[in-house]
Amino acid sequence: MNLELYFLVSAGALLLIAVLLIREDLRHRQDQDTFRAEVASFNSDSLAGELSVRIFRAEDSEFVARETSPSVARAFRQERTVLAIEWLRGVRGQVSRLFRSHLKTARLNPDLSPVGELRLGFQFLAFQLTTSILYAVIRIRGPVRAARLVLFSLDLYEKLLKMAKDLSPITGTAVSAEFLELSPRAGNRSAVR
Amino acid sequence: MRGELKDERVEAARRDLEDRTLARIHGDFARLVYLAAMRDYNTGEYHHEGLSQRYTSKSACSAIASCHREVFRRLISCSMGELVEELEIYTRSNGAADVVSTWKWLQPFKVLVPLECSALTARFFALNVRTALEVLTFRQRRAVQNPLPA
Repeated sequence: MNLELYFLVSAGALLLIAVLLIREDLRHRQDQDTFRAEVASFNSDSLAGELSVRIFRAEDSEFVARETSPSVARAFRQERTVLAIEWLRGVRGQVSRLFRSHLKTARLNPDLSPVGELRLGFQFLAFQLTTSILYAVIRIRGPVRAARLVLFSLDLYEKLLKMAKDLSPITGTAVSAEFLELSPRAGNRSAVR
Repeated sequence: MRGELKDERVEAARRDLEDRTLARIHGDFARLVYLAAMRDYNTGEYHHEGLSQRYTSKSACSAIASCHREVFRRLISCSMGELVEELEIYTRSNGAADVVSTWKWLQPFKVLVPLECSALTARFFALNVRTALEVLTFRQRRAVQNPLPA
């Protein structure tokens, strides 16, 4: 009984956090055209996927440390850290916007699945939590040390997209298109490790 | 995207540019410099007299833009070691004595990025090229300090 109560309270707390996160944007209804324009703008930089592979790769930092002075190598690491943080901010921003857009379309969906939406909400919160940890790791230890966590975050992202696609075909398709640009290609993933 | 005409003329112009011109340029970095030099700084559109005559100016513009994006993508994807090699090929083929120091001072690589790429990608590229130039400077200094025996 106590365990059930614990799960209920936890679910309620997480739901409350999710509601608080999206409350601001739920005030403003956006139509489908605006949503599509948003997604199109996310896709404008087709090199985002390449960046996610390169920024977190150890090989570059090792090469620069070997081939230049310590001051140049340090400056390179620092600038890569700044770029990694900006990349992560961009990804988080895109996921948040797409999640909000999903909620908007879900509200109009007559075949809404509350259980599925709740699971998607949890997945979204797990992604936010992981990327928050990732943010801290990049800041403290640099992008190279964060490479594994990046892959874990991208796996979570993949699950999130699959769930969104299952729940809402319109949003899911758009999000999948975005993901193709963001996610490192399967062959490149091993390179990050 | 500006001038993105995916028709047969664009594809033909693209193949023409790749086979007749880009294939003869040694190294992707040199190709990038060549392609970016065909772009008007004010309008962002590409001009190539020969291609425009054979196809249309719009098709030529789209073909050059497409090649520019492709070469840039390859350079963004390569490692720092590969980029240094590319830059070394470019500086050697250029012939000018102070290419590296001039590039470090003027930073012309900032205008080599395609129009559509994000600020983050442009900064990533600039950092890589700047660091690659430092690597070349470091190697030059090392070569002066430790000359190879004759």
